[in-house]
Amino acid sequence: MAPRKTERLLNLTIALLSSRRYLPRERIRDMVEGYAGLSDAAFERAFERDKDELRKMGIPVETGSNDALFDDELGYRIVRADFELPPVSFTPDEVAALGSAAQVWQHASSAERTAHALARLRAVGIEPDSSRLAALAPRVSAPEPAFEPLWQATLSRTSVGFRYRGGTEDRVVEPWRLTWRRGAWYLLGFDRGRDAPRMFKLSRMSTLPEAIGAAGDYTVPTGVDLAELSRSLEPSGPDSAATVAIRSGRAPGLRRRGQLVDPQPRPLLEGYQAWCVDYATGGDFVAEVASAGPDVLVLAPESLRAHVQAQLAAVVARHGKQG
Amino acid sequence: MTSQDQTARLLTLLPYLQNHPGVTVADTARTFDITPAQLRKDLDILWMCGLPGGLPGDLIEIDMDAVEGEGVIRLSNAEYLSRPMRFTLDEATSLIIALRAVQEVAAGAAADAAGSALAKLEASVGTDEVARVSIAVASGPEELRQVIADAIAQGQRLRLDYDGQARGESTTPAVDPAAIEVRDGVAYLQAWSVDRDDWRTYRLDRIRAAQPTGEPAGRHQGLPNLADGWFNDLSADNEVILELTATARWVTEYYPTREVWDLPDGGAQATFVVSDPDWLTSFLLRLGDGARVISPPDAGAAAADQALAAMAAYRRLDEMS
Repeated sequence: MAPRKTERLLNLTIALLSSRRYLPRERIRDMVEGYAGLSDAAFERAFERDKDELRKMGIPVETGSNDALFDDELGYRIVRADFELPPVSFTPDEVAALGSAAQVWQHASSAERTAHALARLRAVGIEPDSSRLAALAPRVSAPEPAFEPLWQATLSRTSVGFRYRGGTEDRVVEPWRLTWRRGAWYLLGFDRGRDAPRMFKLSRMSTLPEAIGAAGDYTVPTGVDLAELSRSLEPSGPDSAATVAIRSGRAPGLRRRGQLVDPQPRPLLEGYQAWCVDYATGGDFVAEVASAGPDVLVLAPESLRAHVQAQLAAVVARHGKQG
Repeated sequence: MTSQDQTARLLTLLPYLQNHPGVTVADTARTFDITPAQLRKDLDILWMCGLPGGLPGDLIEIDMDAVEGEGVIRLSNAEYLSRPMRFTLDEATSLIIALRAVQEVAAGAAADAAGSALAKLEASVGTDEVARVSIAVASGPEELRQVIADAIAQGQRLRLDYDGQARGESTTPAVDPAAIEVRDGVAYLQAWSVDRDDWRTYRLDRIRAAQPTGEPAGRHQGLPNLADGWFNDLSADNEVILELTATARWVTEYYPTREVWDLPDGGAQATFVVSDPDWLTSFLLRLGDGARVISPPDAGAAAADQALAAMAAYRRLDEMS
């Protein structure tokens, strides 16, 4: 019966869109093909469901009365200006950019949503062409299972509950913003339990976020610079300085961040130079230094040096012949 | 497919067909990413619909003979649906994020065009709402992207000043640039390496400078298809299977993997694709006791040797002081 249902939804849309006045239920029942022949109760059920489905699709079905003095007779209509895509025009260069955008999402639902938006532009004669900027191929992925429920919750302003980093506490969060950086998605939101904004990494959520309460039941604070807040909640910047010996020409990333120690300390292994590099304690600096093997050696502080040596010993234990 | 999905498509199909009179069934099906058979079912529904009244003049008209015969669609009597619906917030936000990604890797006129298209889309949604999702891409400075974009457009060879991570040293490869792509939040240049005689990827944020050499770029076949994912041109010989502890599991989200299996303790077993043995060595050194090699059995040997060499260097340092 799916085709008949689609027919009814489309006919209902056309009827509501073509009427300037609010159409009362009885009138709709007479007018729209597909409601005829239904019992009173069956019509009520079908109409309620159809109306909800149109609204879910984003169609603005308005409820109101034609006569302000007699508001007992409620009716329905779709105001054309609220329904229709307003006039838009794009330059050829902008159309080329829209064409590249069609290829960006690697996340199936987001790719589909983008395709729907572009189809609407094609419907008014704008033809995004992905071949013009073929040398540009940005890709945005979202493999995190939490992405889709949080996308919906963030856009509809619905609170969510989830567990984080394997904890047993249920975190209840009002989503403010989803952010993608360095290939990972983060949620910035108001954590009700902590009574403060918090940032969560989607891949560290240990349960799938579930909607709590109704859509639109909180407001995202205005006047808060969300971009700035996102940055402030990120892992902290450098808070310590290390002196490391780097073999000439190696570890360019560290050298670029650091400064050559002047004058050079003596004695130092041949072929190495001492550099001063800022780092964040609690970050992954130990792993970064260890990954360079003998090309980077920690001179100070002692605690950092001990951590790196422990990690090197662990690598030998894991992967060495006797290990 | 639900009735909602189909109704939404019909509401776009109606203005599309009226704005493209005589468009073919094949082109329309491709545009809407449906089969021609599904499109015919859609048309069957459309011509049963129309203004209330149910009289012949109220219904949408479709020349069904032309659909079956020439395979073209002529639709009329539906002027009340000559424009599509507004974007839903969902759709607009998806398109806006995609366009931002284009803007982040583009340069010059292309970046400006992406920016002005974005402004038009954002105006259609409302500024508060578009701020709800954002992205950042590590794509290096725009001047560099401009040099690369110009070289691609004009077919120039470039000399890069590049901080290679795997080998831990700077190199100055001559390359013929082909494309800029983004994977996992990082922008890469795909280029033909003249020295290696093969395709290579270079992280944009590790290219310190790029200069045209004055030579024209060569013609090269077989640029790996960007849409097919990472390193798809590599054989299975380069696969390494690692068992990761729960604390090291995150690396499967950041590095190219072919397969990941969850383990009961929260860890994972993952198949990594290794394009450069030095990368694997540096990767295992980075992971410490978070990773164990499953296969091939000797894949960790070089990392152990490097760790031993580093420990020996520390001992020599201690002896000197």
